[in-house]
This record gives sequence, structure tokens and C-alpha cells, in this order.
Amino acid sequence: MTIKQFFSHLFEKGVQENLEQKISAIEKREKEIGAFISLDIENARRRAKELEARKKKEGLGRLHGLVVAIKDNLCVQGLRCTSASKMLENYVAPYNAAVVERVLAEDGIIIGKTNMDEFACGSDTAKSAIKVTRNPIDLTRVPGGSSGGSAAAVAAGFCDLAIGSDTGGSIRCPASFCGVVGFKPSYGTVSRYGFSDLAMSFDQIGPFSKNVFGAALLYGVLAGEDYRDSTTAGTEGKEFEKTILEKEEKKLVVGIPKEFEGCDEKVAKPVWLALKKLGEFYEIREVSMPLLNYAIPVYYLNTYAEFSSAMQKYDGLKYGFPWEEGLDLVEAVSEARNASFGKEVKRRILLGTYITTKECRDAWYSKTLRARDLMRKDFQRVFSEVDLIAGPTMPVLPWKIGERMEDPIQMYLADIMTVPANLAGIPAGSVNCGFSEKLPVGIQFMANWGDDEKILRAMKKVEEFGK
Amino acid sequence: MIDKKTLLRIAEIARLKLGEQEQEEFQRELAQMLEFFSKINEIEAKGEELYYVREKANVLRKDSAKKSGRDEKIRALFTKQEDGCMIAPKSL
Amino acid sequence: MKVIIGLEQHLQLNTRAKLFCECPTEKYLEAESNSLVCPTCTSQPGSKPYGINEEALAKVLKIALALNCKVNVGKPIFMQRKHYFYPDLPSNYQRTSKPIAEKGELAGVRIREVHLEEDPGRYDLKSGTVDYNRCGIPLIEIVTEPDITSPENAREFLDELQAIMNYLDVAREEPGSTRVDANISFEGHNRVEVKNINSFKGVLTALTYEITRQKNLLKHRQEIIQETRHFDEAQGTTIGLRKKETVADYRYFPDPDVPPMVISDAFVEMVRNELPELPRQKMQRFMKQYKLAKEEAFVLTLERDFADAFETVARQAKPKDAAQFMRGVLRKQLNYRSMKLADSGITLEDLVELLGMLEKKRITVKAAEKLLILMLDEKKKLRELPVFEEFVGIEKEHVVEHAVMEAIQENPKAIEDYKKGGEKAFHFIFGKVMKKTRGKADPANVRALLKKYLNV
Repeated sequence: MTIKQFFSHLFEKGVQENLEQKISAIEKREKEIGAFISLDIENARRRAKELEARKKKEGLGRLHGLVVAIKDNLCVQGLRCTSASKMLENYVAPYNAAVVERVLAEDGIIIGKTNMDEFACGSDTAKSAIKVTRNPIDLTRVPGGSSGGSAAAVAAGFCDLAIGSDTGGSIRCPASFCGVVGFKPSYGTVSRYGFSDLAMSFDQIGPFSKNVFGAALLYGVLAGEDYRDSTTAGTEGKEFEKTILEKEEKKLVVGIPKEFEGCDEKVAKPVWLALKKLGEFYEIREVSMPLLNYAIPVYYLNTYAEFSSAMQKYDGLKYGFPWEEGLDLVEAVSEARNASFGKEVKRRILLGTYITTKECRDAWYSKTLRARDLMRKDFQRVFSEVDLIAGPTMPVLPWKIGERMEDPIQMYLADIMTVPANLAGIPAGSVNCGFSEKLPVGIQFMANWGDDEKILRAMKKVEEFGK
Repeated sequence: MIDKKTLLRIAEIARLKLGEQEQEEFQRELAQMLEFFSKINEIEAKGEELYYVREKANVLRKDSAKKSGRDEKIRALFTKQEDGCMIAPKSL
Repeated sequence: MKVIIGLEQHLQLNTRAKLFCECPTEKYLEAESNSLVCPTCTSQPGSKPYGINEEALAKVLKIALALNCKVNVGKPIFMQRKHYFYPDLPSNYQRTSKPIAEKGELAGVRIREVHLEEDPGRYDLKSGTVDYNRCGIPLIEIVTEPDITSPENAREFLDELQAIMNYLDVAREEPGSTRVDANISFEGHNRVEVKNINSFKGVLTALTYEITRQKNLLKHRQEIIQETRHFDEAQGTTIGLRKKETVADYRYFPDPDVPPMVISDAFVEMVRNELPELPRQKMQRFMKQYKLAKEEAFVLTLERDFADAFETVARQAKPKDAAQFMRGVLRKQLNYRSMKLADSGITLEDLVELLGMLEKKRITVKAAEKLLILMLDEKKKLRELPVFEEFVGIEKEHVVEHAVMEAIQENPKAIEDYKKGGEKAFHFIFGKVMKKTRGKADPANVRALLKKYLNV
């Protein structure tokens, strides 16, 4: 797809009509899908008008008036930023997140804030304390999570692009379940300033799009250093949407960990087919990563600890769920927190607190920190032999809404393919590679830190198979 | 099972006023989860504790001041305020 | 019974911006509540710490070197999260670094370590009000070993520390810019921590009270409970905190949002080269160079500006006299007015002139003090004072000339002797003039006039 093709609808119809088309889709289907927590239609229309006028005179930025939906844990000034929690139900962001600044600077139109699992703790968006989001492909099923709203909005045509966050698969999972492209960049390439933390050393912000082109475009806009986020590093401004069309320098080598066997056959089939086709362009190999079997415990123990720290700020005093008069300090804060956090959030806070206490630190926390180092090193070992690691994004098809509610561990096991990338800080993306029982199946690619482009290329190839 | 005393202590540190039923549920669930995660003990994790996934150091910033311009909006978010001061519960 | 005291000082560093954000720190006490804030220092959802303020780090190193500490070079120094819930701490964790330098010494007290941390906001327990203007200002924490043996010993230590801070120009000087926690115990007994001491003076009060309190308990064979007590500045007492708080677990871990600091040898050397001559060094040099007594040199070198002023004055006046006057009369008058020399309006030229007159015994010390007081109160320079001439007794010009002419006329024989080359005769006439003017003529002026008239 070329730029002209991607933007054809825009070039043909114009910025305002493109927006109206999206609004129309929202009016038709948002009620049944429930992708958005807040909509900002009036402002969007105003902006579209401005941009249309400016387009004639000067031309527009890299996003050309595309409609963008933003996950509700990223601050958009003047709009609510709830993280789908009662704690922040009425919190109106006093500032813009770095990624939001970039979207606005490149003339994207922000249409609204999307639903998610409460404080990003989940893999199906069913843990939202605000509302339910349904998979546009099958309304009885979950859209995946935690960025379910963003994926659903893209899949349903409510927007051109969306932004989500990924700590253990929260972009890739819903991308796979909703049949769209989702990309988690290399850690540190996108600023987290203005993004509500789940786990600071895991979280990354990334794009959703119906096609790889859009994801590459948006990633290029979002990437770059930010002095307000000390963990960011270079790669400013690259036009990935163009570079991925250029000829490859060498034939990429793709490794498939044998540990990825044991997935549901329904998922495995389309993925292996896609890999077979890919084998005509790339070299496909088997690799061994036995530590992958421990990815889930290492991931959850690490993120619990960081999460319990990230959640300390919510005390109902400076903002959020109001504290109750008449109680003393400790009581007031404890009541406000307990009343406004959902069960999964509380579970994670309790466990995170527990494993970082003096008594438990050595046994649990220290161990998991060292195990993470081992896993990161293991990836480095594999990437000295291969360029990409491939496999199914999710081990199962999207489950029905209401399933997997009781047993947290059942939920966690769904993350088995996605958490390794976050453990190592490496980039990973998911693109649709087929359907099973009419439900979308995603194939995932991972690459070494900084090799985001390789993933975008591989996803582009797979996308072309489908045409 | 995690014993009640431990659970209540953690809940106190984390400022969560758990209800009776919640306490029971969490005692059970947390124990189950820790049991599941104890798989981690099978790994011989020698070596360094990993805190940062990228090797960065010395991210320093020049000492220059700039008003944020956001203070009004921030004050408006305080649950309780008076004359610009935030009001918190008193400490007995 | 041996008293064992350790101190932890928290001193605000005088950077322009806060430690983890760009909020201005200037006049933060006077600014409207919650006006010098941003998403970071109020811990809004999504906010992140900016890069560490490099001036704050440089100032910590300066202080560490002045305290003879060994800097932890070449290895990562983590900024940690110290978790506890309190309204003045918007994140409900405080960012505090691991030790940046260790094993130093000052005034015979060993320094265990120094590190960098962020100041919380201000929370008033009684009214519940919270102001985040202060939140995020960088602090250095200086931790001593329990080497201090008495309140007087503590005073010596703190005086030296204060002098060093003055010389380095690294610390803020507003009320509350210094906070001290003290650990006090009698040998063999439990240790008590006293918090909320907000000045160096308060330390002495707190220590004295607490030692007495513990002594009394022991006298009555009561055990001393290991606890944290709150210093009540107004009452001068320490109060036990009633509520039995469970032992805090701060769950320290490195802040994932703040990459560690790694200090190079080169950086340390650069800071070391920028260190001024320190108080103790200067004091010893003064003793040697100007032949001053230890006590004199000590007072002169307490503040850098004052010491520099002394040296400038000592170039043109007798050092001993300058020392005596400056550390005595001048110091007394400045202290009484809580004024610094730089703000007093007293010029060094005036000091030199005063000292000159004192030396020539043209004025007494009392008179000099009176003149000084007038200069301070009326904000005038020495020669602008209307009483200057009268005080000092400088006779008016025409009167002097008249006296000179008279003396020449009345003593023709002396004139002849002088013209024949008799120096003694000159002195004789000079004496006559001074007698006529009752010693109030300016000697230099008289000599000039004599020469003028005699060489006609």
C-alpha cells in the first residue's frame, strides 16, 4: 500500500467527510460494541473544519487529519482519563500526554478515549469498572485486553488509527482478537509521559491500525526522545511507513521456539500456514528457549511489585474518589482505595506489596528480578542467530464474555506468548493471518531491541498474503 | 492459605480496608496464586537483579526553572481545597 | 553515663528548579499555595520524573568533598522509592538515593554517608492543609555516626557544618530549610529518635531536653522505650507519638523511571577544583598569616564574605587591629541587627579609615563603635555623617591655617633654625600648631600647610 492508497479516502473525500464517516459508524454500532468511555465529537468536528481549511493553504502534518482513538490511560487535556476505574471516574486530565502532543502536532483528530481493563490489569477488557466492550467480529466474545476498546474501535471503523498500551500483551492480544494490526515498540522508543503506569519497566505505548501501513505511520509519529521521560532513547521521526516499502537488505531469519507448541490447534493452523508462506521469502528455523515456560510467573511477580508502587499515588486526596469526612487519615485513605479499586487491581496491589516486604523480598522479589535478567539474556542469545521470533499471538481464540472471570490464573495463562517481549523490552507486533471458526487469528513477531522495522516488514508480508 | 494476620498487615501497608468476605477470598486466592508462581523456584537464578530493561545512566537535566502553567487545573482537581491549599484529613 | 548521639541533617539545596521537574523554587514560602507545581511534583496520573537536576548532584558532591567523604565513583547509584502514605507525599513514596559518598569527617564526628532526595510538601497535622510548593525541592541528607557526646559537642559540629554550607553557597537559608533528626541514647539503653527539629538551634534544645528526660527515667529505674518522638519547638520538649504504629516497611526498590547515576573520577575532580578554601583551612591560614589567636580566626572565618572582607581590610590596616575590631565590635553590631556585612551598607574603605584613626589614637574604641552604630542606623558612609568632623575632632580648615600662621609668627627663632636645616624646629612648630588646635587638626594637613608657608 502506498501513502496515496492509504490516504485515498481522505484525498478523495476530505478531512471532514472522513470524520463524519467515522461518526456515522459510531452512531450505528457503538451502542452494541461499547468501545469508548468518552467521546469528543464536537471538538473533533471543530478541528476537522480547521484542518480542512489549513490543508488547502499549507498542507497538513504526517497524520493528515486521520481520526485517532486513545486508550483511557493516556492523558488528553480536558477529557476524562479514567483508566476504566471508579477511582478516576471523574478525573479530568490537566495536561496532554507526550504521545497526544505528537498526534495533535501532526494533525491527527482525537475522537475519544477507549475502554480498557481497569488500570490495564487484564486480557479481555472485561475487568473495566465502567462498561463492557464487545468484539466487533462476534459480539458475544471479548475483544481482548487490556486495550480492547482501541482495537475494537479500529476494527469497527470508528477511527482510522488508535493508540493503546502494552505491558504483557495488551496491544497484541486485542489486535489478534479483533483482527487488526497492533504493535508494541522497543522499550523506551515512545515516551510514557502522561501515561498511567501499570509496570514502569514493562509498559510501552503503541499503535493499532487496520493495516500495517497505518501502524508504521503512527509509530513513526509517536517515537522519539522526551526529556520528561528519562527512559526514552533516540529514533526520532523515522518515516517507517516509507522505509518498510524499501527493498530488504538481506533475507531475514525467523526462529520459531519449540516451546510455542501446545497451542490450541484452531490457533496454530492459520499461523503455521502463514509461516509456511513466509518461508518463501525468509529463512525459517526452529529455536529453543526453555525459559519461556517460566515467563508467566516471572512476568507477574515483577509487574505486581511495580504495580503496587505505581498505585500508591491513589489516595483520594489530590484527585479521584473522594475521601470521607470524619475519618482519620489512615481510615479515610484506606476506605477510599478499597471502595474504588476492582478485585483484580486489589489482588495485584496486595501481592505486589507482599513480595516486596522485608520478609519476602529475598524469596520472591529478588528471585524474580534475577530471573528476568536470565530471560533477557536468553533473548539476546537467540537474536544472535535469528532476526525475528514468530508464533501465534494468543494460545486460544477469543473467549466468550463472562468466561475466565473467576480464576485469575486462567486469565494469566492467556498471556503466555506475549509477556516474554515485555520481560526483555523488545519490540513485538501482531497481524491477522487468517480465521478459525470465523474468529480472527493473529501471528506475532518479536525482534531484538531497536529492530522494530523488521517486525513491520514481516507483518507487511503476511498482510499481503491475505490479499 | 495466607494467614489472616499477614493479610491484614499487607492490607494496612497498602491502605486497603478489606471487608470480611474479601479477606476470606483473598486469603485463599493469594495463596493459590503464590503457589502457582512458586514455579519460579525451579529456575537457578544466579546473577544480578534486573531493575532496568535498558542500560541507561546519568540522565541529567540542566538547572533551569519554568512555570508549568498547569497549577490552576491541578488545584481544581483536589478533592477538598481552601484558598489554594489542599485539605487532607487531620492527623489525630 | 555516656551519652551517644547521632544526627541526620536534611538541607535544602539552592537550585533554581526542583529535583525531578522544572518548577521554580524561588521564594517558595511566599508564593501562593500550590502555585509552583506541575503534574510531576503533584504526582498526577501519568506523570513521570524528569532527568535528575544536575546542579543538585554537583552540590551534593561539593558538600561530600568538603566533608572529606569518599565518593562512590564508577558504580551505579540508584534513586530508590521509599514507600509510605502521607499527605505531603503526592506519590506516597519519596525518591531518595543510595549513598553518593561515605566515610567522611567533620569536627571529630564521622560522617556515615550523604545522599540526595526530594523534599515532600508541607502538611499541617492540625488543620489538614497541604501545600505542594515545596514538594520536589532537592535535599541533601547527611548522616553522622553516633559519635556526638553532648549538646555542646553537637553545637561544635553544627557550627562547622553551617560554616561549610555558607562557604559553598549550596544550601537554602529560609526557615525550615534545615531539618534534623536526632538519635539519642545512654550507653547500654534503648535509642530514641527525635524528629521535627527545624533549625540548628532547635537541635540543642531538643538534645538537652531529651537527655534530661532519659536521665530522669533511668534515675527512677524506668526503662527507656525505643520510640520516635516529636520535637515541639514552641515548648522545647519532645513528645511521644500516642498512636502505636506498626513498624514501617518502606519496601525500597530502585525507581524504574530514573536511570541510575554513575559518577566519574573526572566529575569528582572537576568539583574538587571548584571548591573554595574551606573554613578550617582559612582559619588556620589566618592564624599563621596574620598571627591571630584561634578564637579570633574562628569568628572571622565563620562566614566567607566576612572572612574575605577581613582580608581586604587587612591589606590596608594592621591585621591584628582589624581582626580585633571586626570580630568584636563589628560582629556584635551586625549580630544584634541580624544583618550580613554585605547588606549593612558599611564599606571596606570606611572600615580601613576607622581602623586608621584608631591606630593613631585619634579616636577611642568607644567612639569608633558609636560611629559604626551611626553608620548602620542612619545608613550613611563615614564621612557623610554630620557628626564625623566633630567626633573625630578634625578642626576646620581655616582655623588650622590661622593656627599655622600664628605659630609661624610667634616663633621666629624656630623658623630660623628650621631654615638652617633643623628638623627638630619643624617638630617644634608642628607641636605648637597642634596645641593651638587642641590636637584636633589633621596632622597630615598641618604638615602640608607648614611646608607650604615655610617654603615661601
